[in-house]
Amino acid sequence: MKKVAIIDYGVGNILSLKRALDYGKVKCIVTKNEKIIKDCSHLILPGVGAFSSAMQILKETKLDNIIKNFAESGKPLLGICLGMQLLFSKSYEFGKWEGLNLIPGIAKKISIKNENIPFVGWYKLKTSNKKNMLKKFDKKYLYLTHSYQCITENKQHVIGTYEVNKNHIVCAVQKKNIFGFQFHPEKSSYDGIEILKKFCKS
Amino acid sequence: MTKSFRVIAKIDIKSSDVIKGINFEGMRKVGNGKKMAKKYFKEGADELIINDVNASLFGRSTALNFLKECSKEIFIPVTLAGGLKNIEDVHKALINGADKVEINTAAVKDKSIISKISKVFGSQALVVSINAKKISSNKWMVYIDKGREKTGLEVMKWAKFVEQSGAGEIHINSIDKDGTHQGFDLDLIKKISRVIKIPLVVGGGLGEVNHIDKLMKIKNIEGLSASSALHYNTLTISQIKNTIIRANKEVRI
Repeated sequence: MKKVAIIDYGVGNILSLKRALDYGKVKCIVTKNEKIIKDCSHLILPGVGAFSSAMQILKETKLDNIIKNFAESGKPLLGICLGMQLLFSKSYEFGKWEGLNLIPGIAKKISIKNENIPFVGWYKLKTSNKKNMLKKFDKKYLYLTHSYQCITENKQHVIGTYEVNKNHIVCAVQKKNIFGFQFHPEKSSYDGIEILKKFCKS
Repeated sequence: MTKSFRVIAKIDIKSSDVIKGINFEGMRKVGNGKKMAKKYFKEGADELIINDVNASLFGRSTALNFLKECSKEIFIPVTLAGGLKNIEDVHKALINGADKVEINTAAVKDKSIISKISKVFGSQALVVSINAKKISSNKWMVYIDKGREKTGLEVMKWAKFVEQSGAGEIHINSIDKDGTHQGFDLDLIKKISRVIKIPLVVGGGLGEVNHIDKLMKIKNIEGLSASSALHYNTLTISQIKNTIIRANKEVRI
């Protein structure tokens, strides 16, 4: 039986994510309990706010190892917004911080001439050429809000980007069973809910 | 610019009803809050602003339950406005389904609250709304407490201060045009759009397609908010969006 665990570590708008899954008729539970997480088929790591404090909470609660073990088991893991950045090796948000190191790469401040950060709003998704779960959503508008962008070491891990003044910003990554979305599927209208459902069926 | 122009539905909520007046006065019931919010979401609104009208009068937010209810069926960014005074209020809004909060009276009364909220929750979570009343041909003043109270602050100076304090966005409303359906205060919008760099959302006065055509000629606006025009079916969200597309701007469809 498929069941999705949403990690509850006090960071971010978890209610909206749960409601989006409920709406999509996906069975889900908000939890930080190791056994419950282990028993679930899918895991979502949400997150809004600062990288360092989120990472600290994950370490203190030992959720960092629980997430890593889940990823190692081969079951699908999805990081959303800050949750995606936490999957990376390092972040340069107000200093230098170690991440979960599940996807090789870094998060660094967005710096594009004449553009203010944070980037907030609806942007058109451009999916990468290879086959991936977002292909069906190419050119759809998705909602995102961020000041830091993820840079993967391996270009093959990028499955979606969006464009700002000819700069391509990564907004979706995948390394085997590990997924990361910079955009908020739970706030991206019906397309977002379809994307969540697709992840939960993977 | 590849970012899409945002069409934002704004509903003023009193208990569970949507109310609306003219020039911030003479509030009338126009429908059920949840039904209207859902309708605007389904029609393609890019965001929803829920303004809790009772909150600043009674000093408490009754909108949290409404917000929670909305989150069951509305999957676009939601901003809660009305009566938010401190970090705790903002925190409550954000864990009950809001993505952003909008403050106005609280920011004028305690100017440090802007930087405080922005530091704790990030600037993306904070919109400062400015209610502006025209006092001479080229001058607007800031009003608070639903347009009732003068502040002595000049709009352009205040907008700059708000930006420097860390607000993520400014939502400018013309009290003179509010609910009139006579068109935006274009002079006000032009002027403020040159003064600030953070995203600017404009509201007050929308009544016909022609008003949008005029608005689209002004640069550096990221969105418009509509309430009266939508509530009274003068315009639909798709009519608004089609007009924006005709002006060669990007918009989510």
